[in-house]
Amino acid sequence: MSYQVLALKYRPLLFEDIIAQEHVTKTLARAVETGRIAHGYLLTGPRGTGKTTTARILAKALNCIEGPTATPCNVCPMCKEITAGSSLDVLEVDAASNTGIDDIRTLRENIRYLPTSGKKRVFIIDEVHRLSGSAFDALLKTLEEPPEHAVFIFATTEPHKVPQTILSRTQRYDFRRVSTTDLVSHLQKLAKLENIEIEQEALFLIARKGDGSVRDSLSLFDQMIALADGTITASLTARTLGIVDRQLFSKLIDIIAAGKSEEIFNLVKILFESGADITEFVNDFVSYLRNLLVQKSTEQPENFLDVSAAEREALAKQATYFTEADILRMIQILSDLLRQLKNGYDEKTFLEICLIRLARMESSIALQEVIQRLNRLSASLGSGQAVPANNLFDAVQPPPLKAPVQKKTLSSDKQLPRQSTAPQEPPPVPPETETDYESGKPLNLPRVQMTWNNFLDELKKQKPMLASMMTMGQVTSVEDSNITIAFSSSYATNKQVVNKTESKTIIEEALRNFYKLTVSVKFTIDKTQKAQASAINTETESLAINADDLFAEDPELKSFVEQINGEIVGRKKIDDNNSNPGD
Amino acid sequence: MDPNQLIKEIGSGKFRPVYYFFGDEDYRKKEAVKFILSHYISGKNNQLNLSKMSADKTELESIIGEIAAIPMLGDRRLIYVEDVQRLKPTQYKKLFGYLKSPPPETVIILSSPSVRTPQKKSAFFREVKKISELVQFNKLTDQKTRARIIRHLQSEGYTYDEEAVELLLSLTGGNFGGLVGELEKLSLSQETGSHIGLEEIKKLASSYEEFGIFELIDMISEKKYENALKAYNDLISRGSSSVGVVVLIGRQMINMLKALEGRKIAGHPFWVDKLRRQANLYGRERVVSAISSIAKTEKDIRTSLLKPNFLVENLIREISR
Repeated sequence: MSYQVLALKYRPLLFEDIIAQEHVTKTLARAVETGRIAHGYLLTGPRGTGKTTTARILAKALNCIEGPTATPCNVCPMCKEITAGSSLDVLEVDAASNTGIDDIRTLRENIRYLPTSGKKRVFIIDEVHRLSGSAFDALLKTLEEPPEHAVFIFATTEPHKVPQTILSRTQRYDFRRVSTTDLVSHLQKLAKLENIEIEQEALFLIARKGDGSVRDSLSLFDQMIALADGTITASLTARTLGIVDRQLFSKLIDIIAAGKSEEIFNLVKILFESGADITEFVNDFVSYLRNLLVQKSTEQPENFLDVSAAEREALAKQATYFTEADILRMIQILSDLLRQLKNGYDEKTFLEICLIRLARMESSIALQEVIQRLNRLSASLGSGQAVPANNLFDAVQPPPLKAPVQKKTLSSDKQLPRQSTAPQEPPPVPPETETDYESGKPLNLPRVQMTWNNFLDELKKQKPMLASMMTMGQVTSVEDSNITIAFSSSYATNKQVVNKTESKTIIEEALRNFYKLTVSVKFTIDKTQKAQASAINTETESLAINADDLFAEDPELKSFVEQINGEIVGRKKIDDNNSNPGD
Repeated sequence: MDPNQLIKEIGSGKFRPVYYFFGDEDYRKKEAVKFILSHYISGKNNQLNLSKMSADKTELESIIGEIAAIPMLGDRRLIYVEDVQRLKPTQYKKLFGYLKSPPPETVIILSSPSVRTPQKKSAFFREVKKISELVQFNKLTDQKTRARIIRHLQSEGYTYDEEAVELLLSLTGGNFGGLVGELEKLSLSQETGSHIGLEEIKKLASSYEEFGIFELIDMISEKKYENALKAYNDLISRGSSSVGVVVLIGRQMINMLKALEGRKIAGHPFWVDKLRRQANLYGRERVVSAISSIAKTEKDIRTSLLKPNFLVENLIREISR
């Protein structure tokens, strides 16, 4: 006998066989048992969640010789015909390929006839949202007054495209995406029935790739069964499905945490030799970091992690290596790498540079916290009180890193000598607020770029919507108090809005108040892809480029950054009332 | 005559020869036709003696011919003519002239859809009033809908939370057909004597997205990051897209800003009250900052290569702390 794919072989035959949709199947089963059958049903939900299968089971439940029954026998001729798709009383229409009014007219003609051998004529219309407007109109008339013997079951993945008139005449049931855990236990059950040896981790890989769809997961499982010779391992599954082995990420995290940048070259070499898709690899690594972030920032991470118990354990351990801010910075750096790869940069070189950057990254400390510490130090020195050196940076330190890897931290032995030379005066603070900005000072590009977010914050207080529109623009040039702001072509609408005379007047007025200068503003559209890529650059990147300029202009800022052994990695407005250490 | 009187009359076996149905609630008109049909013509084959047509698409002669026809395999007929206001003055005068003495065994229902109901001062209305019993189907007020929900729950022997009733009321938003469907689902899924709380409604109800967003914003306002993440995952598992959720959060925040600025907000009072509470809890500064973060996330979703799901999770993390 020829091989039958798992999705067909194990297609549910009863309501109770459908996984993770009990809220629908139980209600429908009860409707059949109590004879409270509606004329129209609308089954909605993501693909591969059981909509069409449920429709067929409902059709069998209504037409089974022993029925109507919530548990159709699946052996009577009616059930068999419906399962085989050959029943004259159950008509399945694919609205994706029968979208026209003529198809619906034919269907309407059909409705008048009584069932041939069953009890009800069931019309299953799949992907109903694909019907044309006139086809919906034609259907509406029938749906309003269907004959007693007719039941309509519509299935769709996009219920918002179904007209309200149809929605209000049907009983709607929403199917949910199947969780990875449910998919894994379903696959495990099938593996047992098929006598297939498969590693638990491999099941997770398949289920995750299946993305909540039972059908997709089963297809992938089929693929693995066809390929495997013996036990289906996680590494084989990862290779076959084009997924990077999670073990590699785990190893990479260990390397980064230990700061062993030399090992990165080896790892990248292995990666390239395996022929992995680098963009996919970076995205998967971001997902791994996201899991670390979840592990770090939630009390019950298991609610949000689609991983095996073993992997969860590893995540729990690795999460202790970093602060939340560290993880966010790593993600930011990887996001920048993705953009570089998109722009055609050399994959191997830039991946290596990026990973080395991660491995050499110092642990993050909230700048506000540093300032608070320095202020405290300053105040203590002013009052003549001795400050125990060990206490100065206690709160500044990231959580202690645990064996086996030791991350470089702002340890007290490294920092204390710097503290002993801490300035007597409160340390200079980068120009973060309007009041810090030197009034009337001529404008230049780095200065405007540096203070642009502060300006937008000010504008937000008066005109939040306008400020939001402006965030999509990028300051590209500043000449004689004329600021040019470029929008990428995808934000042409934003440009149109801010370029209106009244909006422009408001913006220029706000600029005048902010910079204490008469400033004119010009909005342009940057049509080149490169410009767009630059427009979407992160704050971090633009700051890094301009850091030298800023230091040249503001030596105090430079000395401050040096004193705390820091680096400018981003900019964030500090809210005194709502600080979050570690951010 | 209002629909309640109509139901009483029909229930007591009194049928008028000609009715004219008009008003805002089309779903109830169709239900009333079904009700009359089931009481006027008994038996399974009552469909044989029901004739439905649209005055917009049927010749006047055919309509009159249909009205004049004799019943098949029975002794009564029901004629339902929709879009009757579409007839030209000469046509409706001819029809109404005929209907002054309709066949004795036939009930005729004329009807106009909500969007095209003629004004009461119009010539058509004056004419139709002379030959028919007018029945106006208005949308149920919130109060009446609430009473209807409660009546249904009580008739099924359920106990219920007021908040669950309000949620059901707001989710169906005055859509009577939708409400009937939701109540039926509730009846089918819950045993007699069950308690109906918010959870029971949330589990079954459709049009859940709007409610889900409120729940998500509730958690964000209360700085419950983990619960906010759960609410977001729930929305995704119900088929919402990450991008869609960002748009909805954005819309909600803009409405919250409007609320804080004392501007008018459209929507069901249940949602508007809830939104005002959220806005006050969240505060103007945070709302403004959240709008900015949402705009940035929306931009990142379009332009960055990071997965939208991650970007939205990050947004939630940012604005719920």
